[in-house]
Amino acid sequence: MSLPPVESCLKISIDSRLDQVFLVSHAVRGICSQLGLEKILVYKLELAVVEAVNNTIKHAYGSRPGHVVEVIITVSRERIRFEICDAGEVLDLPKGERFNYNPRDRKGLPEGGMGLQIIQEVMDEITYHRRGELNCLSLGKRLE
Amino acid sequence: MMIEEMKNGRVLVIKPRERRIDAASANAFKTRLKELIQGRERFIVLDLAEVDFIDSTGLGAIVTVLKALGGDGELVICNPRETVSSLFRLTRMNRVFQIFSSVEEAVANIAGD
Repeated sequence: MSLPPVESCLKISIDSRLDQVFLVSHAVRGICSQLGLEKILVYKLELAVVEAVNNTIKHAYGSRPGHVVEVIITVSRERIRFEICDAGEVLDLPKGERFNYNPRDRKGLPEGGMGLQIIQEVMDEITYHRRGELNCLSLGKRLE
Repeated sequence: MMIEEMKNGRVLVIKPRERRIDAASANAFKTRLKELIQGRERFIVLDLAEVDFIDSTGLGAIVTVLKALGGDGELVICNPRETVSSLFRLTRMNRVFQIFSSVEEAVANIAGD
């Protein structure tokens, strides 16, 4: 891994449209890859951040374009942290059981609601807080 | 969404020609696949060779297609990249879908069902 000697930070923002999320996705993938993280971990971090941004667009902004979604990526020698911030509705983040379904019951398979479970599965630290006028979901992953 | 469709006997091989099946493209994917099922396609191989990112909405669309087949058909996956395979494992969907490493293997298996 090639982690920076001092904490480093990048802030990006996109419009609240699902067709813009790929930009965040590519940024996360690029940064994590350059840090030398393992390929599967890079994918999982990219996935967790995409899920968080999708969630913000769909639920905090009700899928309405024209609002800002801010993503702050902070890298230190100990961890990488992603803060996803919005000025929309405050979200309730339930902690459900992870992927608790019967794989042989085709009718009962989940078609949605997997995003938060993925985030919980991938990330070590998850907090949701206010920063000024913004709601911020903070996702941290410890780096060995 | 660009999707390649190729009939092989009674099996339809579907190959998305996009790198992502995500929240932005999942609806188009789901709509086309449901049209094919309504057109009486029952045995579908989903070739993910060109897909390098699927999010939970994309995965949910694949599940929707499987459910649309009811008890009267099958959908299997082939050629997933290592990263995409990790999503199936993470969500336990590797216990739902049969996953093959080549189109030929997938077609032979589903046609023999």
